[in-house]
Amino acid sequence: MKRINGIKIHVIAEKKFKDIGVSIRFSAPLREESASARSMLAMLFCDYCAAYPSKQAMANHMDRLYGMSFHASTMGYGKGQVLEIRSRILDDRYVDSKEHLLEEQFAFLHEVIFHPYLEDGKFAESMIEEARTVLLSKWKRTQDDPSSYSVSRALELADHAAPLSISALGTKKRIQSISGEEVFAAYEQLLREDEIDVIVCGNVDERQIEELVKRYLPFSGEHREIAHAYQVQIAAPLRRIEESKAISQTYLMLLYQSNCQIGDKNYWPLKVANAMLGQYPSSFLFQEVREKHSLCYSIYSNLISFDGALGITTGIQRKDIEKAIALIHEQVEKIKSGAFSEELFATSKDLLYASIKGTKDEMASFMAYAYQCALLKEPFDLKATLQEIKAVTREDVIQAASLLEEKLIYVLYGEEEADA
Amino acid sequence: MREVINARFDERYVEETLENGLHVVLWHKPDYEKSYFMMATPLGALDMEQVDAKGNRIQYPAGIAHFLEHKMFEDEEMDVMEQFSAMGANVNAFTSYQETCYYFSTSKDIEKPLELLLDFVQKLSISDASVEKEKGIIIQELHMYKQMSDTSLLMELFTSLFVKHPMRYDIGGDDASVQAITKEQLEDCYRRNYHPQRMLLVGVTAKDPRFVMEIIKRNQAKKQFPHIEIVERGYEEEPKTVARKEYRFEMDVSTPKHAIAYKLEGIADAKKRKQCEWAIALALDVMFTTLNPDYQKWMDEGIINDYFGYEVDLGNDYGFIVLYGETQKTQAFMELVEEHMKKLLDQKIDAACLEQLKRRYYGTMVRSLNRFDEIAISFMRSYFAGLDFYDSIELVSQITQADIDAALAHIDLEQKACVHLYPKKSKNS
Repeated sequence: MKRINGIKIHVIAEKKFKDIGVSIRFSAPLREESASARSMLAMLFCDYCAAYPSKQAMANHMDRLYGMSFHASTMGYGKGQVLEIRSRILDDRYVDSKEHLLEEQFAFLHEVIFHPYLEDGKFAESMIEEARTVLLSKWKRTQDDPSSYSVSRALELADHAAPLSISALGTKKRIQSISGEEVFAAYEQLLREDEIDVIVCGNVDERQIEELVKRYLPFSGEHREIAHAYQVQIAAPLRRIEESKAISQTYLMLLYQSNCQIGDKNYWPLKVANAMLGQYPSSFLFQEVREKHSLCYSIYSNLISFDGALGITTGIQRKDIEKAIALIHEQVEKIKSGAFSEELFATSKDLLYASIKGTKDEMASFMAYAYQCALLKEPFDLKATLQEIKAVTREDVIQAASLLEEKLIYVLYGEEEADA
Repeated sequence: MREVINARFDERYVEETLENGLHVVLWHKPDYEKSYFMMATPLGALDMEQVDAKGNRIQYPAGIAHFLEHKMFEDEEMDVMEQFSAMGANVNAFTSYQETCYYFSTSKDIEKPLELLLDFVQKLSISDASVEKEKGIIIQELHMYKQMSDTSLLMELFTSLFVKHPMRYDIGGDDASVQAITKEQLEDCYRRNYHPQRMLLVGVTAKDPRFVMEIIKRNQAKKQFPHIEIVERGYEEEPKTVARKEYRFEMDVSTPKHAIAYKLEGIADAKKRKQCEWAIALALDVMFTTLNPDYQKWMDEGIINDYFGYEVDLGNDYGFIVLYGETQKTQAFMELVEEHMKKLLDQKIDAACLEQLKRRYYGTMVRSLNRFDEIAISFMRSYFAGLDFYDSIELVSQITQADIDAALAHIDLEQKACVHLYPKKSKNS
């Protein structure tokens, strides 16, 4: 990692890929007031800039660069909201002409970030309206999908005060009411104050990238680092909340406070516990709830690492709710009390190990790993991470699992189930 | 063993047809940690009737290929998924309209999981009881897909387009067809379609292909396969007209969704079929994306949003173009699509524009060689279609205006079906 102009540069030199990926990540505190403005901004980045002032001009340019990909979106990282701009372009080896595609890519990113399309010094009203409409439809679609709806609803209900409950897209209300001035203010603030990381992966070398960053990404201002990971503290005791929707299946989400922050000594043991519980076909939840009792098609346990939480989700029939909840509780207890075979432990650890090792082969996950290391101020060292996983013992798993505290059982009834 | 080296893309693979008929392709990716192996049969959801060399016709209920996929994972001793897990490998499978594929990936040793892949796909062990038990799980899965508005919209559209063709069914069949499937049918279907003569094994790995080929040969030498009559997919004559022109239904969505489809005739020759598919896709790209100067206006007027899209799919005995959108302005959306489909038929694509699109797809194609699953799947599809892999991925770069004219002449705008999905009010919203 290197610092240039107050931003962090991470270069992953790797020749095996056909293309080069650039990810620019802007991070600021995740707040309900600002989340929507930043999500709108991400949409505007995607659509236009001064040099290419229409979608058609953007598309023509990207096509000329052999279908260079370019996206911008927001996501939550614990207490932080990250606006990511990412782009991938072919390695020069695969084009006949004497192109310098990587430089073209940086030049394009420069235009998008530093020279947005403005009318009288502000975002054009029609463009704001379009971004608003598209963002609202995105938001509606996540609400329409019952499984993602049940997850976001459960997180919202868990603790209204915690970042965990805030969607990185923002709220419907804010998306509807936000003004062009507010989005422009968010843009200026992002350029001036955000914590910024630039991650580049592909057939590149560090010096070349540093030169390109100096030339094309001249950020100024003071870019303060913010804390991302935190441990959610849900004060209320375990609650059960039931709601219904006009769908024909029942969705279930159980939320646990993990009492283990990412980066803690308990973190990798907890990852192993989570893997044993519900990440793989060998896991307790898959084997017991799906295979033995045929209650569902899919069931997962997932860590929400940067918030210190764990969620278990499945879709079942209404008549099976109590049975499913009891079975899930039983599986969590088995891990807490150490009632698991050496085989399940070894297998889950192995699979987790293999999946982390495999991140090196997927450019996007390798870049995400580099970013996570940077946020946690850990060295970018996959070998060290793999060593940590290897060192996890049964006792470590039991210890980490024993910290899990169940906080919410969220049931979304299907109003249209045949047996309802 | 034949070695194919492509210097332009810096890729290489070897291939060989084994004595028992199994065709093996090993793609060499030296700098990677992981390996990906896929075993495939051209048995898909479209196989509701098969014909053998003697002209015997065998009928199957809808969803049998998908049902078999579920049952392959059963083993007398230990669940197959668990066995892969214990080896540090992830296994999965999918059934499409055209094929069934089983695959695993791992960043550990490949010998054991590779043997397991061959062994579990080459053995079916089911009982009446286990077949019955599976029906519940499959029906639950079908219901889950039905919850998704996009899947439902597409399913209703296929039911609208096709009168007899198996495309009118969901890949998994429906509750009744799943209930009707018997152990004997599964065994019969398995015997005819999982013979090594019919199957393909594709591996993408850093391991030495010679060493991997040896593992496969040793494994296959231990097994005996009874002779089978080679089967082919049968089909009934499908009318040119659609089954229903208009259909509307309701679900729990916020904004109405619409799909308009045009029914096309299939094209038997695989290369011509792919060419025609690309040619139509390029013409649609020019008409219905940001390449069209009017696109922005459609967005601004709320006739389309970011959900808007289209697809063209051609088979040997079926074909369609579908355009779909999410909008409150139903009438305007329908008119927009119909008006521009008319324009499309005598559209002349600007030469520069055609070159631009070719560049775009060239980039997409080269980048797809990063992905092990994409390599395996596109290899499998071109192999079963009888096409060379590189010929097939480079087809788009050779499309001419004449190809596009010929392809557009293939479209009959009269054969149209529309499906509308409207929001239903929920009790608590």
